[in-house]
Amino acid sequence: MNFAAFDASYVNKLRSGDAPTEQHFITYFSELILLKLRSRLRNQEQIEDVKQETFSRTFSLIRSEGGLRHAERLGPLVNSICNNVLMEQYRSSNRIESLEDEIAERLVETRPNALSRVISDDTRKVVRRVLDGLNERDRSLLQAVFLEERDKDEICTELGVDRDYLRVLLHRAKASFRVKYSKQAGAKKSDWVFG
Amino acid sequence: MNHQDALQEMAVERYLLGELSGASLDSFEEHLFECSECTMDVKAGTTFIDAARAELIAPRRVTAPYIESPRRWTSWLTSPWVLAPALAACLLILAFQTLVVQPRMKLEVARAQAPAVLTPLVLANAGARGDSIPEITAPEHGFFVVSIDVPATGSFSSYLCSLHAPDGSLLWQTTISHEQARDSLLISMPTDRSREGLNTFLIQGLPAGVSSSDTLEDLASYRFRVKIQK
Repeated sequence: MNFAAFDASYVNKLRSGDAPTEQHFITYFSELILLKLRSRLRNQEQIEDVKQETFSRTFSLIRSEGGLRHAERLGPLVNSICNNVLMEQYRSSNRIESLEDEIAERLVETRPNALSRVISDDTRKVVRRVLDGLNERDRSLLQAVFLEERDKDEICTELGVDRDYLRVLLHRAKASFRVKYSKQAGAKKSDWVFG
Repeated sequence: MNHQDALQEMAVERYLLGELSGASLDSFEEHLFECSECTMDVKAGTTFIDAARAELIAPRRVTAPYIESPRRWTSWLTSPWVLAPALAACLLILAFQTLVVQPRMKLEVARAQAPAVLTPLVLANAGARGDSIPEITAPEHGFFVVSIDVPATGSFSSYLCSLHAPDGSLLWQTTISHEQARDSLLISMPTDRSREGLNTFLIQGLPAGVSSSDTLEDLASYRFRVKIQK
């Protein structure tokens, strides 16, 4: 499906129950919702519940009388609904009453593979090439941050870099991955589905 | 937060690193859900991070170390900086020999092998005074013929014939037997062996029964002028 933007046509198709559009919608926002939730919920089951409830309420709203007035606001709508469902989840689990930082931090998922998924061999090959292109320090930095999950300030001090360096390193690695992945996949940018 | 803000603040990287919280987190996520560019970037980032975790666990592929052999004192000979000029020099020498030296040698050989009538310079009657010193014009890379009489006086077992340059240095020397000395000696002298100017043939006799060269006796000295024709 050639996706360009969430416009009136797209919303109309969702409203009418067009299967490909629905599938695209779910695929597109699933990963965003999971990313949003994995830093807020510990339990995989809870994450899945919130995600499903978010989609359910979104479809209900779109298909209701009046529906979504501004199609370009579809994304923020999904985000807003997700926030609401999340708040309800917190209340129902009887742990917190708000999304304040210190409370959310208690619920941060620390396990690195909370949302682990099957990474294709092709993707791993591309990532391997990116990592092989790094010097030892940069490789150690990424390993310490993402694999060992050590304190970032501590790692940066140890390796003699600052947090900006870490961000730039990640930015460059990510950009390199995107370039190499696109060359390998040969897919259109709008159809990229990483995995 | 708009897209420009997200780029300037490296919001995607901060989000992936878990550095956003509170209002900034909410603001970025609201932008994320409406911006396809940032969405693709975040998705690429999470895919990269997830795959990198798996790759970073795996042992890094290491190729067999290349062990550099210890440098010997002759290693400079195989340096390109030495080999290239050396090769060029060899080629130059080869070209010079092929294009200059060999043709010249072939010409000289051809001249030497060509039949020719010889006109020897007769030194038999030349006196020591040099009133009329014989002169010969010799081709530069050719030869000339000299005729010499060996004074057969006394009992000498053999004779020594020496050619001296204008400066007195010895150019050539040969031993002449008693039998050879009976007749006039015809000596074919390569021009290159002589010097332009006044050359001298010296005939010395070696007394019979004596082997030492210290007892040589000067018998005759023949002077002649060489002019080299170039």
